[in-house]
Formats: sequence, C-alpha cells, structure tokens
Amino acid sequence: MAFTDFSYSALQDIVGDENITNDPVLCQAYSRVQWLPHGVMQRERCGLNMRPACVVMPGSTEEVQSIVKVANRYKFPFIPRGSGFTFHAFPTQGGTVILDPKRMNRIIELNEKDMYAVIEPYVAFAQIFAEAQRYGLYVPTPLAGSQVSCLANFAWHGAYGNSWITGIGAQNLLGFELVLPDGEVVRSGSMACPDAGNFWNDGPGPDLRGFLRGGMFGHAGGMGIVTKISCKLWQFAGPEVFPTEGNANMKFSSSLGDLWRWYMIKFPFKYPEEEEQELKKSAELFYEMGKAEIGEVATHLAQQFLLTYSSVTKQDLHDNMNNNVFPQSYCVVALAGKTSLEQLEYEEKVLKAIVKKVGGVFVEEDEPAYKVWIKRAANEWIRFGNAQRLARPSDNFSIGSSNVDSIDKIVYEILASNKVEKDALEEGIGKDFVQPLSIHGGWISPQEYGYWCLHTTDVFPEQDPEQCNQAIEIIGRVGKSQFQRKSAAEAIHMLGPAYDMFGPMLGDVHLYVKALKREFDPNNISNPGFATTPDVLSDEEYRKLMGGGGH
Amino acid sequence: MTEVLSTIEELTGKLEKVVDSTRVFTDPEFLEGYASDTSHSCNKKPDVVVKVLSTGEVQKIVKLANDYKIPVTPRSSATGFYGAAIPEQGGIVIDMSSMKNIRRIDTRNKWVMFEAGVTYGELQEELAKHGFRAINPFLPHKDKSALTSTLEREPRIVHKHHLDETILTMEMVMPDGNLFHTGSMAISPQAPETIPDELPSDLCNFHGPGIDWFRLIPGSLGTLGIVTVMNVKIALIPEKQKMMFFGFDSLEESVEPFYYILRKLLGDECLLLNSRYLATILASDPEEIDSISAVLPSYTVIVNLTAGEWFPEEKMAYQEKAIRDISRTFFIKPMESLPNVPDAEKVLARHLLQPWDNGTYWKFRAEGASREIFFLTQLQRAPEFLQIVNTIAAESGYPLSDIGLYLQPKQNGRSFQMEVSFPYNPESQDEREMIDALYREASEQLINKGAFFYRIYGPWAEMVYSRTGNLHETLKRIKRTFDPNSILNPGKLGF
Repeated sequence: MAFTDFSYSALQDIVGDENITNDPVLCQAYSRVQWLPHGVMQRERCGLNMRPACVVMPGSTEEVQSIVKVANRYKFPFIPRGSGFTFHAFPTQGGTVILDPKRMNRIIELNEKDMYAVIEPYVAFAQIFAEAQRYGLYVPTPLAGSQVSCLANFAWHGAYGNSWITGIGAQNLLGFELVLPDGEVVRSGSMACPDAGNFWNDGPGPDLRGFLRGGMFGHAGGMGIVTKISCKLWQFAGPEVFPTEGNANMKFSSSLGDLWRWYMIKFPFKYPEEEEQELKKSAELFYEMGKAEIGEVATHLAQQFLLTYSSVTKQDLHDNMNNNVFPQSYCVVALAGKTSLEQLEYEEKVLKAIVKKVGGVFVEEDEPAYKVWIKRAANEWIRFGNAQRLARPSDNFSIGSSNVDSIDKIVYEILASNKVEKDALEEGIGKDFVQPLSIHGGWISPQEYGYWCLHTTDVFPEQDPEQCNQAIEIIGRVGKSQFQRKSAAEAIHMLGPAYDMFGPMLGDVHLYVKALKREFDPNNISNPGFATTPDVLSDEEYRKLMGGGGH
Repeated sequence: MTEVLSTIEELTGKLEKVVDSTRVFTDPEFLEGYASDTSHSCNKKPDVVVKVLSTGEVQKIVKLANDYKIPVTPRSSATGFYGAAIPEQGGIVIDMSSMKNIRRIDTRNKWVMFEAGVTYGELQEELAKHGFRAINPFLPHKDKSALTSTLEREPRIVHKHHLDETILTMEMVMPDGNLFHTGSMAISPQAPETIPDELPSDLCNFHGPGIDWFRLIPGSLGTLGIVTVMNVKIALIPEKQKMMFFGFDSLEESVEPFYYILRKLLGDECLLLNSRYLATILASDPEEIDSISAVLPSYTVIVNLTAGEWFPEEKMAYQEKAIRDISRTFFIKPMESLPNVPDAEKVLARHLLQPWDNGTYWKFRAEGASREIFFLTQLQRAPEFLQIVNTIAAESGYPLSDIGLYLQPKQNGRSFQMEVSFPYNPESQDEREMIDALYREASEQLINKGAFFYRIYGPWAEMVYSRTGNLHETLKRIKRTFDPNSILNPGKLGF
C-alpha cells in the first residue's frame, strides 16, 4: 500500500490544514540536503523520487502518535526530522511523509539546581545555551552549529567543542520520550516515573538509551520518533550573556570574562613533514592534562579546522589560507574557574608545567594564528554561533574519516587515514577540492579527561556530482582501510547497509538489530533502511542499495 | 520439538560433558547456599550449580540450556544482597566466582580488565601496586564481584561525571549462546585472554557495535546476557587527601550547602551520612554504635579533598580556601575531624578505597541483618522522602534512631542515591515480618511520591513498572527478541 488521498486526509484531520502540505515546491525543499555529498548524489540518482508525498508538522506527542498510527494503517513510510542537518532525514522512495517538528519548539523545563533541561525536538542549541547561561550553566554545542536541533543531536550523533569534560551526545542525553514505530509511546529514565522529575537517565531496570542509540549514531529515525528529552546542563564559568562585538556579517567574541582563559600550544616540528611527531606530542599533552584533570576544553585542531571555523566569509577563508595564518596544527586549551579564580590560576600553573614537560610552546599574542583564532574565534568553539561554517569553504562538506578509541590509537588512525587520502590524491581524487586534501590533519577531541578520544577529518568538495562522488569514494576507501586494519571505527559506524557489511564480523550484531527492527517496526515504515533493513540483504539488494557499486 | 530432560541426572550428565564433573553440584546442602541471600527475600534452590572457569564454558551451558529450555541464572559474587542471583524458576546456576583473573591493567589509558569473579578487594590490591584505584561503591562487601557491582550500577563513591559510567568493553554470552563483544572489543574477535598487548584498538571505545550494549545490559540482572569479562575505568590514587566535615541538625539545613559544594566541584568524594550510619562505620566494636551515634552531628557531609602529582600543596590550598568561603556563605563550620570520635578522618579515608574489612559487614553490625531501600532523587527532595520513611517507620513501631541514612551524589550532584537502612534481628520472626511490611509500605509510598527506583530488585519491579506506562512492555519485547526461550534468569524484572 502506498500514500493515497485517504492517507493525506487522515493526516489533515490530525494536524489541521495549516500544518500539512503536499505543495510540490514546499515538498521539494525537504527532498535533500545538497551541501552534503550524499545529498548531491541522492539528487542525481533519485531525482523527483526524493520529493516527499507530503510534509506534516505535528504540535504534540499525541499528534505524532496519531500520525504514526495512520502510517501503520496505510503502510506509508515516514521520516522524523530535527533541523534537517543530515542526509538520513530525506526520502529515498516515493510516497514518504516527512514529520517536521517546527511546532514542537518549547523548552519545557530548565532546572538550575539539578542542571538539566527538558526540550522538544525543534529547540536549537542556541535557544537552550542562551537560557542556561542566565543560570550559570551551558550546554555542549556541536560543531555542526548552534542552529541544529539539540534533541536530534543528543539522540542521534553529536560531538562538542568542550567534549573534554562533557563527552558526546550519548553522555548528555538523560531521559526521553519515544513514539515507537507502531505508535506506542515509551518513556525512559526518571521521566518514565510519575512525579519523579526529569533529572536522571538510566533505568528503571535496563537503560533504554542503549536501545535508542549506539556507537556514534542513533537509529536515524528507524526506531520511531523522539518527541521529548531531558538533557544535561553544565556549570559555566563565563558571563550571563555571550559577549559579542561587531555586526551580523562580521561578529566576533573576544572575552568570556575573568574566569575563562584560552591557550594555543604548538610543537616545534616541520609541518606537514613531521606531522607524526607533532601529533604524538599533542597526545602526551592530553594524557598529562587528563591525569591532572584540568581544563574545560582540550582539543587538537588541524589547519583545516582552524581555517574553517575562524573564517567568517569565503573571502576571509581564502585570505587566511593565502596568508598562511595557521602554518601548522595546534592544541587549543581553555581553563575555566568553576571553583574560583584561585583554581583557575592553579590550573594555569599546572598547564604551563605540563606544556614545558612535553616540549610544547605557547603561541604568543602577536602571532597571526593567535590573533585570528584566540581573538576572533575561540569563544565560538563552545557555542558555534558561527552557523554552518562547515559549509563555508565550498558549500559542501563531509566527514572523511572518524574513529573512537584511545588518544594514542586516534593519532595512529589519523596518520593511517591521511595516508589513504593522500594516496587518493595522487590518483587525482579530490585534487580540485577547495581545501586540498594535502593540508589535512584531523580534529582530535579527547573525551572526558582523555579516557577516550574521537577524531574526524573533513573533505570539502564543490556541489557538483563529480567532486561529490570523489568525496564518497574517499570516505569508502578510508572505511575499507579501517576495517582491514581492525580499527575500532567499525564498532561505531554501524548504520543502514553497514550492518550487513560488518555485522557478520562483529558477533552477528546485524541479526540482533534486524530482529529488533522486525519486532518494533513490523511494517518497516519508520525511515526504512534504518537502523538497518529488517532482513539480511542479498548481494543483489546490497549492490542496489549502494547505488550499483558498493565498496 | 524440544527434547526433554526428565531427570537431574540426565542434566548433570550433559553438563559434565561441558565441565569437569567436580564442578557440577547437585548436593541439596550445597544448593541451599544458592537458594537465598542476605535479603532473605526469597528462597528457591537451583537444580544444579556449575562452577565455570571460562567464557567458553558459559557459552556451552547456555546453548545446552536453550536446547532443553532450562533456566540459567548467572552468579558472580560469593554473596548477594537483593535476590538478583536467586534462581526463581530453578534450573542451572552458573557460578562464575572462580573466574578470578585480572587480565590486564592499562595505566596509560586508565583501565583494568577482569573476570566476573574478581572482588573489589582483589582488584584494589592489584591496582594499588600500579598507583591506581578501582572506582568502587561506598564500602562494598569484600566478597562482592566488581563486575556484578558495576553491572548493577551501584553508585560510585567518586561522584565525578566522567567516572559515573565506567564500563568500556565487555565479553558476554547472549541468551542464544552466541559469544558477543561490545565496544571496540568487538573488532578483535578473539577471546580477551588471547588479545595481544599491541592491538589496533586500545579497547577504550565503549559504544556499539550497533546499539549501546554498555547501557542496555547493566541493570538487566543477567536477563539479557551473561557478562564474563569487562574492562572499566580506573583512577589514580591521590598524592594527598584531606577530609573535611560539616555537621547539621537537620537534613533540610544540609541541602543548600551540599548543592553548593558539588556545584563548585570540590572533593573527589562527597557524601552525607546520618549519625547512625556513620557510627556503624566508625565503631571499632558494634557495642559502641549507640554511644558514638549520640555524640555525632545528626547529619554529616563528608568532603574528601585530594591532590595529585602537580603542586599538591597549592591544589589543597585553593580547595581549602573554597571550603572556607562556602562556610562563610552558609554560616556553617568546617571541621577537620569529628568531635568526640578520635581518628574518624583516618578510618574514613581508609574506607573510601577499600571494601569493608572489619568483620561482619558494616550494615549488619548493629542487629545482624538490615533491609535497605534506595532510589535516586534530586537533593532538594531528600527531606520530603525522609519524612515519608520516618512516618511509616514510626507507624510500624520501628525506632527512628536506628534508621541509617546515606546520600551519595552522582555526576557532581546531578542526582543523589538516597539509601535508608533498617537494621533488624534476623533470628526474630516478628522483626522479620515487621521489617518486610515496613519495607513494602515505605517502598510503595516513596514510589508514589516520585522517588526514582532505578535499580529494581524483587517486588520493586512490579511496583515501579506498574506506573511507567509502556516501558515494561517495551523491555519485555526486547527480552523476547534476544531470549525467545526465556532462558536467562526468568522471573527477574517481571520478565
């Protein structure tokens, strides 16, 4: 059965005329995210088939529940969407309904004492950050930008500027409310218990967050629709209002007050020839900081990241590139006086001693790198109000490689991934990208005082199919090499067809998740294909799903 | 159609093909030791106990159990507190307490890998040789398995956010007998004991594969899989530490200062005990509990300030200054020792790192047994819940002065485990019945008022899940998906 007039009428009854549309122009806007290479390729492959049958905007959990029940009655696929910043939120087959949560945009509760907030799907990080600041708190914000949905990011996939203390999305999600693919509502954590409050995550009994999400990802809407979460807030040593100077086009933030200090640290090695030594020294810095448990931010940024996140316009980006303001990679550290000024000064003394011990050098205030990064951009590393700078170089970007493991192994992973990418470049793949692959280095994000670590490298093709295909080819090559190296990456990258590809080598995990999909989504209508397909794919189906080729 | 085993002898015959016959037990007296625990909550003997030495043996037994639809209950500790390892439907108990290997300590990445039977005492002793400590709960029983304690999510005494969830990777046997590894251990298909030191992975990634098993499995009381090996985070032993104490006449008075201390990130450990619980720990002889309790403040907040390798004196100095500042803000007096109890700070400092090692387990010292109710709450609601407990205890005729109270912050004070304890004489039938009724009544009322029972044992499962909408049914669907034969620990959690 497919989407019909009966389906549309039933949805209309639920949300009202004003909250549903099948206008082709409006629906087309929900058909792809073309500034991701996968989105560009989807457009090429699927054309108008990616246009949803309709877009519906529920205003409450009850309305979401009713929509899902109608979907089960008429058996049409639906896709829940946050702010739309991922290619998994777009149709791959005709007759699909998009649920746009724009009307569900309330901060339901902000609890200062117990440091959490309860939010609906369309609350952006910017909203909650600004609100939390008033109470001396803040929310970890992803590099994707403060404009994205906080709920979707925590329930799905998030990594943050201050992950040194906060971890990733998995560590920031507390309770949640989920409309299952069959329309039943389930709540988890203390949110499940009447009058218990929304302050806690695990239980009662098994922690249902383990079912909701996994690895770096959740289920991409393949196991229902999250309609409410409670999430953690964190002590903030900065001011009640985020300080900014300038106008909307050239807005900077230079000071977070007396209790917040930024540092850039470099190691005296030739870049990129001695990149390995530089990365290993950076690892030493993080291990030592972790042992001392100091700092609010500790991260390693390659040229690529520094340029992307510090430039406010395309012209600015190219000027910074041409002027070589970041001649190498740097470690960036923030200390925050959350106990007192004395604590901040103590940590500064420890940081200086550690930097000396590991052979690092603090970047001086008169160096171009300091002027551009610390003076203009560093504060945004915790707020990312510089919306979608990821798209700045070419209006298109993708993560080229990523992994989670120890800091040491992440260094190894970056070097190995960079080699794969450089080999690709020698074949001419990616040679025309705005930021050439040869200036890669990666983002190292040690998590929770360095107990574990995450990294990504990015690629920036233009929005044309040829370059996007090259980007996807690079991603595929890196993934394949990771598996050949038995990198830990594959444990976290399970989603969609990856289950069929890697599951047999990972304890047959694909069979367990497929069984869950069959149990909870018997009609396979909740973002079909995610978390994975209900049945094991045949070779032919797999090739078809991968666009005829696969890797 | 499933083949049926008609006799215990048939079953033991099959089991003896898996393990040495000397490790298969059917003697009724021996089985009695597995029929109950210190909770006295139920009494059900297994049909057979198998002491295993490896994950492979567990795997074979679970497969055999599936073949004949026989229940399997995993047990790792030599002692139990809440009935989790009592085989409610008989069958096989897999006793993993002999799996004693501490397989690896990674001091660079700060983790330890160990088997199911390793206790906190054994773990601490080994870790101390390397300058590290386990992230243990407050004063665990010396025979408690560190793996079970972690899976049961006993609150860690170190309340820091990044040490709240300590599991990195796990080796486990799924309900169908499949061997499964979680996190980055999944990438190396060999058993952990054969993993070489130099690996492509350092086993620090706890996510995946696929879903987050490190969260789904804990709290499931062995109903979704049997974990045989895990690696968990550890922490450096501090170079310096200093106990600070704040006394309060009422729990209400402690709330704001306690919140504030935690908001300021002071103390590796920070907890609140009432005079009864504190006296139970400090008394060198149980006979002294009453007299010590009488001279202690009604409620004591204990803050353990620590410092590590770098400039420890300076770190202690800023922390002590912050404590003094807080004292002035709230008009409270910090104490470096407890009045009238010599060396209390030294006794407590030692107890923060160790399981209880002073004879009878501390919670049983006063009367021989105790029944505990514990749940999570926001600190600001703790006085309200204590009032409920006191009211019901008074109505039951239980002396309020005997009730123990312990508040353990989690994640720098984002939530608190509140535990109330009712010591009683286990030899007295009247007391047992009174305590049982009090326990049930108080649990019901606390749950009704919003106390969040997150670790749910015995009767709590029904009390809690009857109030949580579709949650229980959702969990049962997950259980059925993984364990269609209902082999693993049936009866627990209402499964």
